[in-house]
Amino acid sequence: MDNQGLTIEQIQNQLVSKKYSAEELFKDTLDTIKEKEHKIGAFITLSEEEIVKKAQGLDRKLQKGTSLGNLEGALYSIKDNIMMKNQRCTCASNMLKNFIAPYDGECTLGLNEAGAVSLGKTNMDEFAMGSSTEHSAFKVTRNPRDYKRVAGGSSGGSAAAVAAGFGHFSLGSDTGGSVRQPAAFCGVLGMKPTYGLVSRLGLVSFAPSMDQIGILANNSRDIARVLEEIQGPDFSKDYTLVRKKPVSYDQELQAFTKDRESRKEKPLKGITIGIPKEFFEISMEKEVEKALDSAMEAFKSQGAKLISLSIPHFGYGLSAYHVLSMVEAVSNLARFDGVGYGNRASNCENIEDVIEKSRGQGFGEEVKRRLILGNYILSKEKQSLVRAKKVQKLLQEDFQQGFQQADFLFTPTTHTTAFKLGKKSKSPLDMQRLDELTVPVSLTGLPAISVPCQEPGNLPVGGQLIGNYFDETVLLKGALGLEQVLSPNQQKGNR
Amino acid sequence: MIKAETVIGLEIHVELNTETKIFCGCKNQASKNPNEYICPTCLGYPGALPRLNKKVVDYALKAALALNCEVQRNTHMDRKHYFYPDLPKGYQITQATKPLGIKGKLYLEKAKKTVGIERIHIEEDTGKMMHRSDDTDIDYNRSGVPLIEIVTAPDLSNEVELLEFLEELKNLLAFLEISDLKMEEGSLRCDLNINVIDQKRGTKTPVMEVKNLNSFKGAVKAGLYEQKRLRKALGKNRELTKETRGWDQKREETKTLRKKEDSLEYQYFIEPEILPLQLSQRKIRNTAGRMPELPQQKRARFKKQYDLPDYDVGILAKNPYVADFFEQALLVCYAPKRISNWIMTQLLSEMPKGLEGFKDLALKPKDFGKLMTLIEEGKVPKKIGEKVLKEILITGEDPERILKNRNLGKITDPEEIQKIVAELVDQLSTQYPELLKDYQKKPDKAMKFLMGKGMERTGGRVDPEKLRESIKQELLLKFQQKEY
Repeated sequence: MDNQGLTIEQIQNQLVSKKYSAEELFKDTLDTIKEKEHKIGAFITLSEEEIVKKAQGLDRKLQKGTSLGNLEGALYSIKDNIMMKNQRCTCASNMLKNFIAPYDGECTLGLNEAGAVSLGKTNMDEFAMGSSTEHSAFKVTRNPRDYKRVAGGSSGGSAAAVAAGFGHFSLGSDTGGSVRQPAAFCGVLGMKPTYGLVSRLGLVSFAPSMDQIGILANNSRDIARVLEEIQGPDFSKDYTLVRKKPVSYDQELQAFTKDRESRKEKPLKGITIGIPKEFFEISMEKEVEKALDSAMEAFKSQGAKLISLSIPHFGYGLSAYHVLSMVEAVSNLARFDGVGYGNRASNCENIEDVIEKSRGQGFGEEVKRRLILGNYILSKEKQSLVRAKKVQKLLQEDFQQGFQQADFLFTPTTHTTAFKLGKKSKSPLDMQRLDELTVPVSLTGLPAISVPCQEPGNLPVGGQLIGNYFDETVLLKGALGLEQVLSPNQQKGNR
Repeated sequence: MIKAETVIGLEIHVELNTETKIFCGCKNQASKNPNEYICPTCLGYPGALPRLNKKVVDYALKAALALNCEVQRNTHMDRKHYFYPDLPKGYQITQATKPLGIKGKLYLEKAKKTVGIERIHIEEDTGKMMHRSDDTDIDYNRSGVPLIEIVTAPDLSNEVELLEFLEELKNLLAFLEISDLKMEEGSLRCDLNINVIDQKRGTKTPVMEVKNLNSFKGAVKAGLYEQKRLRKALGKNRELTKETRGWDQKREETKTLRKKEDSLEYQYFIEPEILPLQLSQRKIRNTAGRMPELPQQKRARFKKQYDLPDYDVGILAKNPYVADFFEQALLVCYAPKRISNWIMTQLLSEMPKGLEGFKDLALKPKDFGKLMTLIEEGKVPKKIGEKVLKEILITGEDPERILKNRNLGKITDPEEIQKIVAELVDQLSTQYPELLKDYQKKPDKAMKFLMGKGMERTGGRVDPEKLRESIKQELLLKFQQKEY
């Protein structure tokens, strides 16, 4: 069945025009999973049982001609640190190996209402700490573009699932780049919305001042559609930054495209893209440089104006990020003490013993490394916490300066392409460097999207578009503009 | 033992009586059933988020203003980290670095002393552990119950001041109606910080923190115990270390809970899951404007306006319910001293919960006033009044209705009185044949006896003078009958 590269809208059209049934469509995806999942390892929990039944339900609906919900016909997966009621939620940790979620993450409520069907929970670095999905307590996720390479992380399972055709989109979480970086490695789009746009209720916290739920998908239209359904404050205004009205991102994107077409204008005419020079001054793989150059050419060919600008405090981002995230992690992981839920060590003498052993057994190396460092900072280096907060403020100011000149900024998402399995897992500092280009966005809470910039056939490279607060729309426009040039295949029948 | 100054400061935890808990929608209510009011948030489940109950901020603001605090308009919540089974998140959400209220004070009228309030802050309560012989259960009903912590300056110098402060503070909080203030149930808790200083020699002991004080009496006893222990140690130049000690109520002594060297490092930092708190000037103004009359003002006014002694005023201004009851009763029957006396004696003696009972009293102040008027006007004798009062306390009925229905009203009809007395004298003179003779010899004694019986028979419903008159007439009649 040839439905690869289609948008959810196109799939819905084909379902309505009876090109294939929902049952055929869903079974086709299950077949793809059967064929490739054992080589990739994208899922921790696959829930196939209900899927055929749900497809049949959708087919009955199609038969009756009932109008479809925004995401009906779409299959998705979700990172295993977001709750889905009555399903396991492990955070890829032995600590929560058998933890059953007692409630639904708020972001999933919108998806269900719009008719999306879940395939299951995806693999990740334990408690979202890591950049390669090699730190899962259960298994490694491999890159669908090259099985010898990592999928990136920490939302590696989600990125791999989308890249392998296991459903149309996936939800991940992005604290320092955990959606954008694996998206770049696997050659899919990955958006981290503005901090506070999507409710975090039901997302297991890692560093809550930066944690944000993000979307991985194959095209910008799908990202727009999904964002529409998961944005706040539909379900509870208490956990999102309230704005007056939800935005119809997909409609805005379509209206924008139509408008440009009717006026016979280039898609990105009038849009100024800032190129922050510091992001390009770090040592970068040749492949990445080349792909970024071609992306900038593509932007120009679409009518955008490119200007150079500066984010002077870029260089402090990585240290500030690691100080803040490790300190918050110490706090947020304190609840896993073996008392109320999660791993409880046996044969303990007293409560101290229970807590020590349960945590000792439950957490993996990378988590322990960060907890030790975080504790060290909290007890001996509290000044660095103050300095990190300062960097946060300074970066915010830098970016605001940037947005006075540009509609969005464009940078590489990572300085490398996906590396071979095991290559960096012994060197935490090398691994940390992978976040260098994504953490300035995390520290400031701005929205960003990583978009594939590489010609097909090569190892994927991601370009990062950074927008101002709540201006996800301009990012989607930019991403669409790039897609039209670099992935023209995906555009077939899209107009 | 040497003479040395005692320095006492207090940390007081007050559970707020909001409808729901501080960070979730669970009921804020004690329950006999463990874990009845719980949810992912107050159980510290992964992925659950706190949302700050606005009422908690309102209540804390009220307390801060009532204690003359400076309100910090821009503040935030912090996390205080430690591992303990009753603390489900591994940290307590509190205000460490920027408390809501600072630099407050409370004046003690008897000690003639102002006690500094260093800080008032908002925080959450923990769960409760219940130890069994070989196991421990945890009840999370209390987890996430809102608290304010009030920390005083070390301004108290003896047990008398300590007690006055505690009572005055409780009195003040009662008028804010923000807490049930039940020490025995833990909704009011206090820890004591105490040390002694020998000014002459320039020596002092380290500060001891005493916990587990579950009554004011306990606090006073623990203070005295520690004072004695510390003075002794100081006199003998014995080295002490800073300690947290617990009060053993049964043995009436304090015991080491932990030495301060192994004190915990709480690793405070700003709670990232709750937005910073911003209190507008307007909100502060409005709260200050809606502040009820506080006990010190109320006592002064009662004293002046109703000309009542200190003792009465102290009781009538103990909580808003008794104060309101008193003043509303006055609207119906303006007899301040009589009403005050009745409240303090007859009424309180019938109320098992004491002054607290005024909160949900079946007796309406208006009815109490009515009853007082009836007594004042002589329409109801005091004894009957007491009976009626007892009844209204249970039924909440109108006093006049009770009087009528139970035939408790005064018997004023002369014929009726005469009839009752005739019966009585008839019966008694048959029962005690010497009665009439006695009356001739010692009229006073016989009359007293007859009056007693008469009052008993009528339940005090007859005016004594009328009864006496009627008995005289009846006796006269009897003698006349005898002569014929």
